[in-house]
Amino acid sequence: MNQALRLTDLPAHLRAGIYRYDSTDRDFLAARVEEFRDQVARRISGELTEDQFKPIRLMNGLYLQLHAYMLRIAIPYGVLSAVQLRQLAVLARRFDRGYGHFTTRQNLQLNWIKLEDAADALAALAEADLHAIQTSGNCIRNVTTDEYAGVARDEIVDPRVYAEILRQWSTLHPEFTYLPRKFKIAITGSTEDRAAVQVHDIGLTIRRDEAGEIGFRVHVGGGLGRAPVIGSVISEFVPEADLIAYLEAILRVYNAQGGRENIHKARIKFLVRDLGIDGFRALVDEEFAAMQRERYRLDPAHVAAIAARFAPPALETLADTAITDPDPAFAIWQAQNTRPNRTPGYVSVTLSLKPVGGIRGGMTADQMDAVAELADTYSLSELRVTHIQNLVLPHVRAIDLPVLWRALTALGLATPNIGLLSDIIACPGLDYCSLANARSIPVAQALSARFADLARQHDIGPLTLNISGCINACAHHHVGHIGILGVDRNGEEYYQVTLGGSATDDAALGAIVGPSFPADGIVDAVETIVQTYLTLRQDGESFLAAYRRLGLAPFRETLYAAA
Amino acid sequence: MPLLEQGEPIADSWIAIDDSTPLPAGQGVISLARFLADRPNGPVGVRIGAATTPEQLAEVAARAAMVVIEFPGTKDGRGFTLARRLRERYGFSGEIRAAGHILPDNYVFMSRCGFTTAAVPEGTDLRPWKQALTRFPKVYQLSA
Amino acid sequence: MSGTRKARRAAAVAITANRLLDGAVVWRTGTGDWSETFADAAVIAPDVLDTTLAADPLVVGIYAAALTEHATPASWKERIRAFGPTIGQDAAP
Ligand code: SF4
Repeated sequence: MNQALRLTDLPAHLRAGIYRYDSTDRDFLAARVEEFRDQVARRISGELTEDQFKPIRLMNGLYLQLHAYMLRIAIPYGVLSAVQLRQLAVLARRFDRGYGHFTTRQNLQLNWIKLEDAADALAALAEADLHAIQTSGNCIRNVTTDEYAGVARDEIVDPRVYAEILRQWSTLHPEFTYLPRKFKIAITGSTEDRAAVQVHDIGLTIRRDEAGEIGFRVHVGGGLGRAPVIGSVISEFVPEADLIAYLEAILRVYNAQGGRENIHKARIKFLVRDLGIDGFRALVDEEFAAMQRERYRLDPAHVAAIAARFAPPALETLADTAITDPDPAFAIWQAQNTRPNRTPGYVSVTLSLKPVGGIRGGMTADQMDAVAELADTYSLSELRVTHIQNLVLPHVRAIDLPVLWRALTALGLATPNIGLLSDIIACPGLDYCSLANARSIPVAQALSARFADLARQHDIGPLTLNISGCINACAHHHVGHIGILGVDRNGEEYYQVTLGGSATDDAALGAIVGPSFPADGIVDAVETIVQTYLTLRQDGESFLAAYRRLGLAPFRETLYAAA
Repeated sequence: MPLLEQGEPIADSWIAIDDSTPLPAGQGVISLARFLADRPNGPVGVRIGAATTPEQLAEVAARAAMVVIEFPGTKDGRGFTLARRLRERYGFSGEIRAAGHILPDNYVFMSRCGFTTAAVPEGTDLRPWKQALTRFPKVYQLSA
Repeated sequence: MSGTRKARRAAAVAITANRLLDGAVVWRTGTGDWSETFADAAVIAPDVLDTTLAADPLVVGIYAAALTEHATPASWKERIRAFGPTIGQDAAP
C-alpha cells in the first residue's frame, strides 16, 4: 500500500492555506470507512437489498453507472494539496483505469470502480484526508466556493473558513441526511460572484455591515435541472453568529414540507415557488424564532480557530513586475490563463484541462503526479479545482511563469483558452452516465477541434459553452452563454440550444433558440451562432452583450433559414 | 416486536390500541386522529405519521406521555425533524419511539435527534444496531 | 425500467443488468449465465419477457434491452453499454 504522506508531516512552509485535519476528523473518517465496509459486506451477503443499500452507497459517493460503479470524490470547496493530488493518482491507477474527471462541483469522478474495492478505495482516500461522503444522495452536498478564495484581489472575506464550517456542520447531519432531494450550497466572499450563488439551493454571499461585522446575504431556491430558476433573497444579512441556526431553520422547514411524492418536484425551489418567497420566509422566521439560538451560536473562537488553519502561507515580499518571454506564445498564455493575486508579485495560474479534442476536465494519473510536482515547486503545494473543470495553482511567483509555462506546455496543460469558446464545460454524458440522453464529451471534442484556431477564439472573445447530457444539467447548460442540452428522440441523440445564460452576478437563464439539432448538425449550429454574433457585434461587444441587445431573433433566422 | 433502548432489547410497557378499541386502564398508544378528537386524560401514547404539522406536534408534546413516530420509508427523513421539534421546540421529555421503515444505519441519527427507543421487526439481527451506537467516537453537530 | 416497456415493441430483446460485485454490464446467455460479451447474449422475442426477468442476487437492475432486427442494440445507450465509451478512453489498465 502506498503510504501517502500526512499533511501534518510536511514542514510548515509547505502547508499553504489548506485545512488540516485534526484527530477528530481522522477518527471520524476511519470509522466511516469501516462502517461502509460492513455495509458492503451486508449487501454482498444479501442481508441488504439493493433498495436499502442504494441510499447508503450514494451517501458514500458510489453510483452505479453504465459500465461500472463510479466514485465521486469530494474536493471540499475545491482546495487540494499536492499530497492529495498524488493520492488521487494512486487511486486512479490502483482502482480505476489510470484517469479521472473533474466536475463542475469541484469533485473528481473515477469511472471504473468495483463494489468489492470501494471500501479499500475510501480507505486509501482517507490516508490523504479525502473522502466521498455526501457527494451524492438526498443530503447536503459538497459546499462549493470561489477557486481564487484566499488570493483574489476583490475578496472581502475568505469564504473557505465558512465553507469548512459548513462542511463540518453538514457532514452526517443527523436530521438532514434524508431530505426530499439533494441540497447544494455555494458561498462567495468576493465582489464578483465566481461561485454561482444564485443557482444553488442556498447561496451565501459574505458581507460586512456598517460596523464591519461579518454576515451573509442568503439566496434560496435557485437551481438548474428541470425547471431552472434564479434564487430569491430570503435574508439580506444573517449575522455570523446565527449562520448555523438560520440554515437549520431553512433545512428544517424544507425537510418537513418539501415535496416527496414526485422526485421531479422535490428540490427546495419548488417549495419556495409554491409558498412564494414571502410565505417561505415566514415559515423559516417562525422556526428560527422558536429555536434555542444560543445552542446554535457560531462561537467566534471556533471561527477564529478554523480561520487559523487557513492562515495565509509565508510569501516573499515581491513587487508586481511585468514578465516577458522571447516566445510570443507566452504572452498569449499569460494574458489568458493567469491573474494577479492580492499579494504583489504573485499570480494564480489556471491549468487548462481543455486541450483541443480532449476530454473536458479529464486528467491522467501521470498528469496528476506531474502537476503535484509543479505545485510543490511553484505553488506552495496547493491547488484548486474550478467549477469550470480546470485546476489552479494559486500561489505562483510571477517571475516563475516562463519556466512553469514551459513545463505545463510539455504536459499539454497550457492551452491558452481559459474563458474562451473551447473552455467548454461538459458532463460525462451518455459515454458514462446512466441518466444521460445523449453524449456530451464527443460534442465538446468536436467543437474544440472545429474552433481549434486560437486567434479566432480570441477574436470571438469571452464565451461560455456548457453541454449537459440530460436535464439534470450537471454542466449548467442553462447558464452558459451558449447552452447545449442532450435530448433523446427514439434512441437518437439530439441537442437543444439555449442562448444568453449567465452564472455570475448578472445571473440569467438561457432561452431556447428553437427545435433541437441532430448530432451531426450541432457543431455547425454553434458555428452559425458564432458567425451571426461576429457579423452583428458592435465595437468591443462581447457575445453576451450582443445577445442581450439583439435577442434571439437574428440567431433564429440564421440557424433555421436554410431549413 | 423487539424494542431497543441504547441498542439493548427492553420490555415494552405500551400496548398499541386501534381506533375501535376502548382505551385500557394501562398504557395505550392511540392514533393522532383519536388523540386530537378525544383529548384523553391520563398517560397516553400517540402514533404520529411523517406529515404531522407543528400545531399538532405542540398538542402532542403538551399532553402525551410518549410518542411513536412512524417512518413511511427508509429514505423519508421527516421523522428526524419531528423528533427534533418535539425535543427542542416543544420541550417534550417523554419516550420518543422510532417505528416503521428504520435501519440500523440511521440509529445514531435517531438517537441524536431525540429518539429514545426503536421498534424493530421480529427476527431482526441486533448486532448492527448495537454496533451503530459505538461506531463514531465524535460528531460535528449538536444533538437534541 | 422504461427500457423494458420500450423493449416490448422491439424486434427482439436481450436481458441485461450490471453485475453486483463490479458493476460490469452483463448479458444473459442461452444457458441462463451472465456474460460480459454482448455477442453471448441470448436474443429473445419480446413477448416472453414476463417470465424472464426474475431477480438474481448476482446482478442489479435487470431489464430487457431493445434490439434491432439485426440483433444489435437499438439505442445509443445500449450500444455504449455493449461496446464501451466512444471517446477513446476505455482502456483497461
Ligand atoms: S447532466 Fe445528465 S447526463 Fe450529464 S452527468 Fe448529469 S445526469 Fe449525467
